[in-house]
Amino acid sequence: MKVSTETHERAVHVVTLSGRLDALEAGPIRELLSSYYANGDHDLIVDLREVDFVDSAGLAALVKAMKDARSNGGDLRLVRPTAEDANRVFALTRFDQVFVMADSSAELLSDW
Amino acid sequence: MKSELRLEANYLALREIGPWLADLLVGHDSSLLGSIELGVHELATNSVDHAESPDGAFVLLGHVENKVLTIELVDRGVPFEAAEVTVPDPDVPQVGGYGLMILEQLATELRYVRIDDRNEWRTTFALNPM
Repeated sequence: MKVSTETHERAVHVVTLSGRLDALEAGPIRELLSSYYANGDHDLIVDLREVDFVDSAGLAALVKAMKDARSNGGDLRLVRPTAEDANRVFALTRFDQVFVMADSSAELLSDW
Repeated sequence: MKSELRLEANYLALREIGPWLADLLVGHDSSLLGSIELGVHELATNSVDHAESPDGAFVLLGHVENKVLTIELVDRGVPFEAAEVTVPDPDVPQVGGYGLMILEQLATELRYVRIDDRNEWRTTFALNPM
């Protein structure tokens, strides 16, 4: 999995992932997202547009990070994957109704 | 067509499942591959996470017949205890525990039996006519 990061206005960090977000990658991604919270940053966007597969372990890493952010007054929001295979797990678990999701980070940032 | 895949019980090995299924489903509707891969992946992850197989491995058996894909997973790990599984409440988001819930929605059938020292899972997926 490839990871890139950038920081926007209001100190919202955007983490862009590509490849598979599966059980193999869930641990490193969980650690990466936690590293922002350790620095006191609790507003994150995870851009999943280039992610082509998400399983329940990958979902769990995002859910844990979202819950941690919200419990500290922040939020973790998602840019939807473009691949149907990556979106499927959100629909099946109904987490597409729990996460704030949009088609671009710009859209998420404009409503923050 | 029948096929067998023996995998080590680790997350890296699970990445062999997608290509194996793609080979197994040659000639069938490829649009179903993603959802079937997710379902089988969740079943295999369950074995990796919970079975603790003494041989550190499990076997997937797959065959297609009459537009139905049947996948069997066999490991020699500890018995699966359904009573210990907490079904997630959709209205109360939790961090984990969604694997079998996902598989149950994707598969036509899901069965588990314990035979001697083996866990045997059997799941089926309907394939669209071409």
